[in-house]
Amino acid sequence: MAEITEDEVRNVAGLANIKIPENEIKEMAKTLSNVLDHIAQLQKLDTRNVMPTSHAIESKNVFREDEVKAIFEKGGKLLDNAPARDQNYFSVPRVIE
Amino acid sequence: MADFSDESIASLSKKLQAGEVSSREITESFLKSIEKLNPKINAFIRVEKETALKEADEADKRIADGGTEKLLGIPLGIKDLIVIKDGLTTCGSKILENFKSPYSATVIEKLREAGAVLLGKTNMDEFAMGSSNETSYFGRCKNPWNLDTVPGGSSGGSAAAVAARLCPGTLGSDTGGSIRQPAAFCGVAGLKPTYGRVSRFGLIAFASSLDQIGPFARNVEDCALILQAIAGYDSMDSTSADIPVPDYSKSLDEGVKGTVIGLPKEYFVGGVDTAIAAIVTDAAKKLENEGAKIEEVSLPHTKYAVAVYYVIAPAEASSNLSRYDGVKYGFRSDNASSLSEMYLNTRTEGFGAEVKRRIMLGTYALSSGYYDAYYLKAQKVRTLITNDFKEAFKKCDLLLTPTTPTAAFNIGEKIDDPLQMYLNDIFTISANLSGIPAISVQGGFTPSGLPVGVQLLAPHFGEPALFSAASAYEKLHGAELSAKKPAV
Repeated sequence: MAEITEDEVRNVAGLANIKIPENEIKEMAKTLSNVLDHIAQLQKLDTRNVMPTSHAIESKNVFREDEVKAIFEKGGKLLDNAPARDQNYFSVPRVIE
Repeated sequence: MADFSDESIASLSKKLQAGEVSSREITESFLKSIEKLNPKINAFIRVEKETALKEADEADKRIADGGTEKLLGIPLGIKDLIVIKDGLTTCGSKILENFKSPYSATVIEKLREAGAVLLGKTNMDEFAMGSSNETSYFGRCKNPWNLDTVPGGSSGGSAAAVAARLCPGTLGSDTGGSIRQPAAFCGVAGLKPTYGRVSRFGLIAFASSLDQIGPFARNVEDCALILQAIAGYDSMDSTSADIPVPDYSKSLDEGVKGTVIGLPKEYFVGGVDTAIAAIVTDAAKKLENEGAKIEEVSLPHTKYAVAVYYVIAPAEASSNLSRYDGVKYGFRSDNASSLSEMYLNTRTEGFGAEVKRRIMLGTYALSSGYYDAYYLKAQKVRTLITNDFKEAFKKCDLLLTPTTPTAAFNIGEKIDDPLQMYLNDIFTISANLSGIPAISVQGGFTPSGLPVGVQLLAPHFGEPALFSAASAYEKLHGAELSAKKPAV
């Protein structure tokens, strides 16, 4: 049985920048362990001489000229989505006290 | 007012070209159907009535000026993870509930060039993570054939909209079966094209090495018409294929004479509903009578597909979804006094349970000490699954399988058991892992009256062969099956 401990859940949640309430840690550990248990069957396969696939279609590096194109107007639409802005800047809570 | 709800795209197009109807009349008719039926099934999460009617008028002008594009004046729905400039695109999530894209996806630009009328955005599982459309922040979508059952997912809204005749075609996206599974559950046709056939630029990413945009329609010909309009190389997507797009309409009447169709024995083992197995076996017989040669083949690594997928897809998702932090767009938590607290609370309050679960799974699989055991191992088994298909396609031109092991399940039945939900995609996931194209077409009904999907798979860029066989199969059904429609 592939087991993920409650401490590992807290650690992974920290890495993922997600807060799991203390009373849900146990349930999350159980759910993830169930899925990891299913995934564990992959270990039965001998893959020593198998190349990994990261992309299903054979692909080569794609080069193009690095040209500036005026797709978005400066300070325009892109900033309209900002949850908070200060003139033409995205605004966030103070980083340095 | 005339009702066009039972008409296919091809027949509407003929009527538009002949001047028998206007795009405005057609569009108004579908908008009326949406108004009437959408409250029951929640297939559309947003309807853009005004822009749709404006686009319909523009299409009518283009027709008057001699425009002949097949989608000119045809109303379509778009899954809400494909961006349309200035409109909302939410991905079915709270974290993007107020996001207005500053640009349009390439497929949208192409549909506009073709003159399609965009009716609005269709419902989906949050960030396309789900097989039941129950994880949408905007409420679940229901299956028009039986309102107690799910429409499938993640493109549940796109499938249900076509099944309920709210529009003749839609776009969805397929990462592990998210077009084919809901197409099967809702009794419509749905195609996942070859990876790279359709540009992903403007498709909000879930798992970038698996995602592909594709069409839903009520028949194969209409799927071909939509694919024709959206396929092709795009410099904005460096994974899109620089390979010419064939004329798909030519393959529709080719038939299956001499086509070798493989039945993978691993797709007919325990767990497959007997009515579904019988329909697929009967499909093989019907195609054999039309001149196809049926061969049993083996895809021995099929049983590992779900395990591979649930490492690779969450791993890619955990990386893709790290951009949602409340800084530049989307939801931001008000409840934060520091930057790090803002990131944490934005993501915690903005993402739903299933999305968090997958981010956790992916982060774990990629975390230090586990990479080789999970991610690298899964990538290697992905190669084995792809090799199975390569071997099979040495012996046959196409593969024929059930799309899903069961018909639509009940709302709430699997939502509390993620692994059971994931296992529902056992027959669709392999095509994504291998990048091959696959189509689900309606094969019949279970004894309880739920639609059953039949899946055909082809080698890379084998869409023409898929259309030939799927269209031949559809014709053998006759008008009886396609005339059946949900009671909703």
